[in-house]
Amino acid sequence: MVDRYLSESRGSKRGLIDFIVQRLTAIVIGIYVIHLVVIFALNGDMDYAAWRSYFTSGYSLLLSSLTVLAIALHAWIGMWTVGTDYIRGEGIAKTLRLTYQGLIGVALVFFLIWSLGLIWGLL
Amino acid sequence: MTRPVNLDLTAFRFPIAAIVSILHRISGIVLIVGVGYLTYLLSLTLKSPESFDWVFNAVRTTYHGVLVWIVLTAVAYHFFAGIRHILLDFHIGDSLVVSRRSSWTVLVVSGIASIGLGWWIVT
Ligand code: HEM
Repeated sequence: MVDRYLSESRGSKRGLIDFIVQRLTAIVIGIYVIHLVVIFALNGDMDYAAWRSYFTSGYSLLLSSLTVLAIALHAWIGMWTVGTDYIRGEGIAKTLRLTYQGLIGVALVFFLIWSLGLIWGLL
Repeated sequence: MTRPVNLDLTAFRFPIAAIVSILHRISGIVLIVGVGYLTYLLSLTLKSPESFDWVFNAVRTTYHGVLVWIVLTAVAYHFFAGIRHILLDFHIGDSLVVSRRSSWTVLVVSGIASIGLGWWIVT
């Protein structure tokens, strides 16, 4: 797998960086998922006050911010890979592929700004 | 010249690995939309005590429960298959027998997690 990424036509260096970033962001998101499961398991029935005070703690604000950033990067690389797998070639296919990438990019930038706004808007 | 698609050569000899791989891709695509939806629901739970109650009720009693269950199942699957994927990237467990067994493990563990999540949502 690593070897394959090294030879992807996107340029070996960029391909390797993508590969590493996708794994690192996967780990960050994974940690967030595990942490949510633990929170739910430890505090079965949180009321609104407890719930809100947890999500507005400095620790949660930072971890959430890091996680939405990781999601945006991870999803960008993931969807880029999916796009280049299914929409191949020059000409109209290239236009289609670039349009697809543009839409994904816009959606993810929107997601990032929106979710960071939600997180820090809690304060 | 066409460069190889993001395909896994073991997939042809071991369809189970192909299934695990394509489901990982599908779950990733589901998550792009699903995470936006979960973020929106989470933001509602933090808005006011009323919207907090509304979300938890809606998830327990309306179609939102089905949607949340689908997205959480995708999270669980993508998570377990993702861990397997990363281990394989580093040639851990990439022998025939082990990779086949880990494919089954991912499917079974995700299935159990999915049932557990469904139960958690309705209770
Ligand atoms: C909100 C969270 C996530 C989203 C939206 C997401 C989305 C995606 C997408 C769209 C892909 C591309 C699929 C493909 O190339 O076939 C992908 C790949 C991947 N994901 Fe995720 N993912 C998320 C979380 C995670 C987590 C928690 C892990 C690991 C524990 C993970 C591990 C991976 C790995 C290893 C790949 C690379 C697959 C490959 O190179 O073929 N992801 N993800």
